[in-house]
Amino acid sequence: MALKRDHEKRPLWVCPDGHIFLEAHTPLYTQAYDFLVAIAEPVARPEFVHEYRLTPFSLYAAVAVAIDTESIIRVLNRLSKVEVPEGVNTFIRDHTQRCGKAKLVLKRGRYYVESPHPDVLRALLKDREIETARIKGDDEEEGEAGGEFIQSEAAQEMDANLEFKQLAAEAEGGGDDDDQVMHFKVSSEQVEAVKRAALSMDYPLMEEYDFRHDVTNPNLPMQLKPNTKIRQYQEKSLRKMFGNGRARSGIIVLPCGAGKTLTGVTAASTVKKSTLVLCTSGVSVIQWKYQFQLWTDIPEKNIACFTSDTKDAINPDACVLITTYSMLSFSGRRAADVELIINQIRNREWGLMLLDEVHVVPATMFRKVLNICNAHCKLGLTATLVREDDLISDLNFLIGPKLYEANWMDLTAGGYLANVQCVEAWCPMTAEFYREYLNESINHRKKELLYVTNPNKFRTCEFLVQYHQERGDKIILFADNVFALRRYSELLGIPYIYGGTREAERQRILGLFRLNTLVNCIGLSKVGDTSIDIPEANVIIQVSSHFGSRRQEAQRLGRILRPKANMGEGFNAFFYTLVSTGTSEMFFSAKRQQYLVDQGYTFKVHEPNLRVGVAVERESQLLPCLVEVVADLVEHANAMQNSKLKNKAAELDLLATVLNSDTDKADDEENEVLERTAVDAIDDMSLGRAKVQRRTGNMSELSGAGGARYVEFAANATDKVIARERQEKSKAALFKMRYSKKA
Amino acid sequence: MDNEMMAWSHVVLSSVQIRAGDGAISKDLLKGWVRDAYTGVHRAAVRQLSALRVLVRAQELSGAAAAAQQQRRGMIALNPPFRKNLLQALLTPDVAPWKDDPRFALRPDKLTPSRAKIEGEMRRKWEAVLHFLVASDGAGAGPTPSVRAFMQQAGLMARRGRSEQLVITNRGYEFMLRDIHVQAWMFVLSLIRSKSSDAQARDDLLSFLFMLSYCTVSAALQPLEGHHNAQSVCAAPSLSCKPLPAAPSASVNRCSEKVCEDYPLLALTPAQAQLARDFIDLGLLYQRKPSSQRFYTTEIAVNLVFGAAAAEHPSRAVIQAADASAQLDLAPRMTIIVETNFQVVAYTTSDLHVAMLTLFLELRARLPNMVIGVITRESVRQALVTGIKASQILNFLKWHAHPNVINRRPMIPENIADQIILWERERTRVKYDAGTLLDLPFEGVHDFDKVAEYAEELGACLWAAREKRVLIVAAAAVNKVVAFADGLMPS
Repeated sequence: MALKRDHEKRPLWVCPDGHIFLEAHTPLYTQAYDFLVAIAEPVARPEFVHEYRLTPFSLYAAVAVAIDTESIIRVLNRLSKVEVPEGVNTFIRDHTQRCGKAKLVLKRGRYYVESPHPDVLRALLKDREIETARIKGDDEEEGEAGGEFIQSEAAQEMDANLEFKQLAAEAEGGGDDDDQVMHFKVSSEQVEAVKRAALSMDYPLMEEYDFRHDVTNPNLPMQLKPNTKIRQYQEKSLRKMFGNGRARSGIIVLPCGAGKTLTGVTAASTVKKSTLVLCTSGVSVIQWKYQFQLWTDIPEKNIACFTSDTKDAINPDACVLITTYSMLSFSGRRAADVELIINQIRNREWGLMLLDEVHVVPATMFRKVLNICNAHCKLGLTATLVREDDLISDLNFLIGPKLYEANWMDLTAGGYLANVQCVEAWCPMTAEFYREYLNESINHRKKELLYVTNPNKFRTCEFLVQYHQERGDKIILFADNVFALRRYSELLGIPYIYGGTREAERQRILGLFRLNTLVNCIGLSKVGDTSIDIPEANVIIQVSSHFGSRRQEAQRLGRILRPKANMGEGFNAFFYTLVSTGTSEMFFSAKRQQYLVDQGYTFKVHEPNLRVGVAVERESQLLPCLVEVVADLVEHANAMQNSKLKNKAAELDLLATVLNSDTDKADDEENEVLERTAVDAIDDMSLGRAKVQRRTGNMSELSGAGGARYVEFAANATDKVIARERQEKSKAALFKMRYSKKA
Repeated sequence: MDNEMMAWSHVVLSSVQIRAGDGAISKDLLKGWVRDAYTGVHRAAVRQLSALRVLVRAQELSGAAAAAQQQRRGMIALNPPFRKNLLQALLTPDVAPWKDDPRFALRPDKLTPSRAKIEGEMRRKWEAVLHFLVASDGAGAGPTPSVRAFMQQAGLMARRGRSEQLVITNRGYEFMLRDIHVQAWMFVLSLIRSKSSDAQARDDLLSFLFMLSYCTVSAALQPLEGHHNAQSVCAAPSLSCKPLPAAPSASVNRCSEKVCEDYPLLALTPAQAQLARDFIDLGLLYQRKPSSQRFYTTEIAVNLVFGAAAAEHPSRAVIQAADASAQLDLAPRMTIIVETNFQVVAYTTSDLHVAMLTLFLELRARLPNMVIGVITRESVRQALVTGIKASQILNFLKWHAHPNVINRRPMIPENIADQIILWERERTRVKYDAGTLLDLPFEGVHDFDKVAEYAEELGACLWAAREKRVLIVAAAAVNKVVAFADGLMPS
């Protein structure tokens, strides 16, 4: 690979394997970042050198937001320090050539196949199915151009999205822009057939919804309130979606706390058609409704919730309906009133479908939901699009390409997210607990309980709680294990919420936590991972967690990411993970942090003995208080007189309780109540720990690295289903390769 | 540093100019030649030179009458032998070492190598040596046996197990991280040490080293340069100060021609010749072909003695290293960024650097001007196994810190530094202590406690089980403890 002569001015390297490294400290960084995030998957984005990867899906996404093949190659070459390897160019051409050449546009209630290249249309029309679906001659536009297709002005892409064009133009005199597009009309009954046929011809049709010209569906009377402020990155992500005045389907990835809901609300108020919002739980349904009313002037009668508790009437005109995935995908017998609403949903044309926390929903559930709803445009929202598995391709297939992904560190630097100090505190196991832990006859659930209830861990936790309470912080204690959660909460004297807590009780505790200055600490089980919004909290202490789940780690961190009032220099939120040394927890912990570490977060390891040796030579620039914490921790870990767990006797007592406890019962209770939105099921599955169906998993699976995230888990007939789906799907060229890989 | 050197040369040169008698001069007069701003430096220089006995008080010089002695209070002079030799050296500036003996006179070399070629060759050879040190995969021909011997002798490399292959040791790693001047000096030291039994040979070698420092690579080195600088520090020279003869015109001419200086091998003693050959192997000296009767010096060889002096002051060594690479571009500089996600980005083009990095990095991508790797537990463990220390790895990373991170505190993200240290500590979780188990046949705990206490006092008590009256005592103190316990036994 030859280095270009003026390589110092260029920000990135392109490797032959499709990896791209970007220097974050070059003047062209911002442009290069926007460009790369559009065409490639971010792999790791630490402070100085980012890594991206070109994948078929990322290129598909690029084409979807109207970046054409030659622009990609030209801009890449312009930004690259090295000559772009020919292999990479070919790769880009191969994967973008056919994508995005033709679109399926819904305009004035009619479907058109649109393309700037008449050849493509001709090729498509060779297919018999498409030929028959074509509607000819009933339109006054027809024939005007004298050609075989209708000709019109292309929908103009927003200038902002074409920034990269400038870069390309500077490189090589600029490309010629086709402003004319051809299209032909197809009958709406045969749209599905046309899509399928086009797919099998390797011309996947991209769907666009020309909502401004949709006259068949009534408009929704909704405006953003004048005081609603959209942040620059939210605007950027929406520009990708509404780039050419039409709505594209796709996924927007924003960190927790960065205002995903507002982004969704804004999208809905732009489309102004009936909107269906799908969330993961009843609590977030209420939160979505609240947000809609907070940001927009939508009348009460036009917004409805549909959950197991609330079944609002759906306005016959345009409306916003908020519900959960499980409500729609429930396959058993439904009550009559529910059936009625489902039918209403089924019969309606939805302008926009908002899919919240899109990463947690398994493919089967999606399919059911999509079967029920007829939506012209789908927008997925998520914080953690954990890559490396099949999830991304599934979502690409079912929803659309990833439109935008924000950089956590940039948002933190911009003050949109709290600046979190992550600390991993290593707590040595006490001798008695460790002896039991090593005892082979004990099952792994007991072992888990042993390292979670490790007395040293408890003391460290107790110390941290005390310390932060004195500072006036609001603390959340996360413990996945319900038994441990109870023990910890009772010993510390704090209220706690788990699956079995009743809704009223939940609201009461959360209310107390938010408003009462005396209640500064609550314990949460995994029900608190996503659905509970507690902007006040700024400290998380994690004593037990769901094995190697990176999703959970990121989402828990998300609980304290909302910007804090005291946004200044330094850290204003703290995320502690307590780990028992010498146990499998260490291994899980490293795995869990991977995602956040790749986003540029730093986990400081704190080990009782580490500081003693190292602190002296270290010029630490952390907040003084943190140094204090760490220093105190050292003192504290061993000598703790005023601990609730005073002496050995208490420890042994705890040990006995642990060993005799019936943990399964508590967990079952939890799981029963937890809406099994499959969040845990997926995790369980991918971690090789499905509860119903125990399997032996290899190490990578246990750690969450396995790619089984979206494999259906319920039925034994899974394999058959998958096989059938494969056949169906493999017609899509874009999605073909992953099956060939698997096979 | 420069100021200091200039002050030194100013004092010495000013003193040497006094031709009258033994050249005693009043301290005050000497001070008068210095600008006010530099008096502090000047005073320090006088003090240091006095401490080195280069300057002595005039009174100490023998042979003057008592009255005259009185007069000479407050005057200083150069140490006569030093003065004599210095004058001689200054007045015969043109004669290079080994050149004054007509027996060994060399005919002009028809194929005089260029300076760039010499330095390039030096770099190539030296890198080969370091490369051998780092990656003992036998890449290339490998260095000569003498170099191999040196590596082993100096403990830089060692045989691992029974294999013939040499593997880098932690000393070797240390060596590799040093500046090239220091490396050369370490090499020379080890050689001299190996010859320490033979006084004659040792003197030979030392004199060879000193002679070398009088050599020039090409005529670019100007021996009087220091003097000119000193003049600029001085106020206008007083009348009593006669200007020195200007640098010989011949040297100026040669300077412009940039012809490299050659020296006769035959003029060397056998021991010197052997050392010279070793130097040639390492690239410190240059020989066109093995049969050639002449050799050329390199910058490193010429500065060997001086560079070593710098090495004793680590702070100076840094400057030295920076200077050296700036002037000579000896080793293209590598700059490293360590990211918080364990990714290491190293800007370098040199294979040697890459090899150095692979000692503790898992390489991910090699690009024309950059290498990306990850620090993993396995990669660090591999380095640790060869005896490299965590602190050495961290120092290496710090030493090469990229300008963008050089002002970041800490330069290496804390979590990375901690983790590397933790990985190192992982390996020392189990501690071995040789000990003896004493099963003490005491009835009660009382006596046992006494023994345990005693062992504790000695710092030898490794483990004690009171109930069983069993004690494990460090091997070194077993006898004492046993004797003590015997004393407590009822007879």
